[in-house]
Amino acid sequence: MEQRTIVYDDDIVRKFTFAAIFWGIIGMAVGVLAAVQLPFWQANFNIPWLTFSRIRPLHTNAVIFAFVGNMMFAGIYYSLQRLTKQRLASRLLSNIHFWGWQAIIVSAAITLPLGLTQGKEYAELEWPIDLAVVVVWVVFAVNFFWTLAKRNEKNIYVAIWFYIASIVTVAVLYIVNNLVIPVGLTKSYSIFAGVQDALVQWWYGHNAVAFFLTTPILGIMYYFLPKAAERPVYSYRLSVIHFWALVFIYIWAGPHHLLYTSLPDWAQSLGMLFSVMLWAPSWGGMLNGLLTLRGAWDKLRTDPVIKFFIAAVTFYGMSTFEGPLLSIKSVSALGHYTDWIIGHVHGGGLGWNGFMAAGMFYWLVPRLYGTQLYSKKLADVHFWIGTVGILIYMVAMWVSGISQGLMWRAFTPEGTLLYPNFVETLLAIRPLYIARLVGGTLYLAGFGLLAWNLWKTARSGKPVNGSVTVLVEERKATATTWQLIASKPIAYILAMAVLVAVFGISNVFVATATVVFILVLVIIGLFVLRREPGKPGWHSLLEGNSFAFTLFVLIAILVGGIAELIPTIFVEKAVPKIGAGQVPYTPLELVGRDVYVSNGCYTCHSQQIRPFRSEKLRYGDPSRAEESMFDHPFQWGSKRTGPDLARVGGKYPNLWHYTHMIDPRATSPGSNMPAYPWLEVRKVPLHQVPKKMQVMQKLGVPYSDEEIAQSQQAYEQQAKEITADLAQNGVELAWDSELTALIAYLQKLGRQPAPSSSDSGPLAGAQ
Amino acid sequence: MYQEFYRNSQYLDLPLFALLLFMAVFVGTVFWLFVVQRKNKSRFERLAAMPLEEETEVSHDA
Repeated sequence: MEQRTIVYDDDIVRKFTFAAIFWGIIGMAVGVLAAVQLPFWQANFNIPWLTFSRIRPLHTNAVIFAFVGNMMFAGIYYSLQRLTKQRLASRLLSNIHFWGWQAIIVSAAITLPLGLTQGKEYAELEWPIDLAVVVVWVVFAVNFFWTLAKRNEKNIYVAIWFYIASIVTVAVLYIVNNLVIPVGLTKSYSIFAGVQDALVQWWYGHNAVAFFLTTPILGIMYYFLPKAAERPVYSYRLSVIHFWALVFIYIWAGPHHLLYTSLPDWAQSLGMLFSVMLWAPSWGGMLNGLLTLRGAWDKLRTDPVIKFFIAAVTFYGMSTFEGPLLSIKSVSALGHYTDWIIGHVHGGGLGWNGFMAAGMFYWLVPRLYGTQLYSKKLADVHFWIGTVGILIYMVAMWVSGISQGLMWRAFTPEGTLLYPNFVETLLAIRPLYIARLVGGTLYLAGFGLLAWNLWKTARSGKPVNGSVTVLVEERKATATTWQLIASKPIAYILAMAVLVAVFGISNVFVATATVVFILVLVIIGLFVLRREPGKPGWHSLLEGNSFAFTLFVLIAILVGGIAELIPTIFVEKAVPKIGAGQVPYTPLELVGRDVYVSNGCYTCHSQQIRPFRSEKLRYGDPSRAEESMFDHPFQWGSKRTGPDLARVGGKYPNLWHYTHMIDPRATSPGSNMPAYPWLEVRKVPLHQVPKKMQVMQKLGVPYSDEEIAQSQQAYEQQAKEITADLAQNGVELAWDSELTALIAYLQKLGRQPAPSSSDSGPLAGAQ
Repeated sequence: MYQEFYRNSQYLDLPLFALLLFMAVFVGTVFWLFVVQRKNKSRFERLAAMPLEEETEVSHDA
């Protein structure tokens, strides 16, 4: 046995910490700029790259991947070293990870405002940046698992389980959702389309929240909250349940973003069911966090770190209550596409992520610099400004969202829409947009205080690294991976699998008898095959084998992913195609669609009409699955700051669309939509048209080789028909402008052949 | 929902299968943790206290 002093690499923690603070300010400031533009549309100054639809993706990507990403890397690297009693395996890999991640953020900050996007929420980055993300993530994973393999501590603490789940799952999600075929260096098309793309996207999108914004932060909570409270975690047993249940259930919840869409009903119900089930593990985790403070609640009055942590965990509880609530179909019917969702997201983002980050930074930075916090009073001010900011923000968005939802579905006694003009609903919530702006600005101001406070703290000390002396003994292999697989718990799981299969294929009597029989066998087995006293249990052996642990986590998340995605993607019947054959976009419409995606129109407009009477009256017939079967990527959207566009085609003349894009208030008085004058002067790169169609052809869109060969001529012909129509009304528009293509695309929407009368079902769920 | 699973392809049984399997594993895990492991309190207490182990500080250059 050898005594060794381990000096931790805290330099990388310092780098990630200050990067997180820097990007946090940038990301939140961009959010404030976006929030200004909702009540004051002029605030984009007619600059494309400052316009809401371009900077909204920048805001979401910046706060998720730049702010929370850097924060979580700081927390993971700090706690991983302490919990494994091992210095990070490679300083080189740490630095590649840090600088690579910052380069990715800078690339995103340049490309997103320029309109280079894949058009899928939180997955907007184009394929070269995606590749860089994968490489850097692998570097991070290698550094992490290498450190874990070299650890001087037998057991793997619960925080590390959450980190493992995050690393593995984010890799799977990110790769699958970003499977694309490139058209060029800055343009690609998703390999999935329509319903399948929607399901894959929200499987990813929801789990970006789960495994990027939740599980790593829960790991951070399990490490830093006990540190700050100087109390062990309330219940380690509860953390075992919390971890496995959360990891298994979370992965299923994505379809709750697609309730009442043309996603098959069984997938919607499944998403709702698992979302409601999430209540239990989420609240188990929240209570485990809050009760860790038992016997030390007095610290809540005096310690700003504890204040931030406890408020963060409370916001986590609120968000994880509200999320499942919003996943219930009848609640979603009211709340979806409204600001209620925005309020919910920001409760989690600002309250849980932002306050966990603040608490961790206030605890961490003085220790990273061997000094005291510069000003506790300033931290307290930050806490109260931030809390008031969040509350103003959330309440404003709740009121706004519920008002919107109610106004959209309000009827007159005669049965017509009470607010047929969408802008009426927008004007009603304008004061709430201003309140939201105030709330967001307060929160940003509080974060500015944090930056100042921590900068002064760092300046008052000097960088120090933590150190620990450990007795290094050769670690005995407690159980091989195979021994962990060929074990009682796995036998139990297999027995349960057999039971479930029997249940599925036999009648209820045989199934019940099998249930009773297997349960009796299990109980007898547990008592007969009792573990010898002093011998470690299966889970404790598992905690000593990081490879096996990672394998089981991977299986847990893949079960949900496979069981949900495979049927929708591969089973023909899962997406019923009714009605006459669908017609692919013409070359001009296809390019117009790219203009739509590039300008981020999906950030404010949905293309999915739900089967409600109010929506049928406002927008037309409910959307059908086959209508978006050629849409790579799908553009159903998730928010209606403007009206749904699924059936806007043919509703207005070309002149209306032209005028609307140049001056939205000329056609829709009171609208807060920004003007898009640059579309009139920007030319379409025509040489790319055949290439785009070739890629679509590879993806299964039925373009013939002849159509591709003549695509430029077809493009010009259709474009000139539109410009000739505009010319008759005194408007001169170049046929190869982006606006011409966009008008063509908008005029196509909802104009697919209608299903025959025998195909169309009754209007479901009319509300 | 149940009927719809069975009306379609066998692949659509997968989610129901996984859900029931999860329930069974969940019940088994709770039983194991709170019944089988009830006498193992000290081990869980030691694990819960892992973040609280002391460390020292050394200068940046060390």
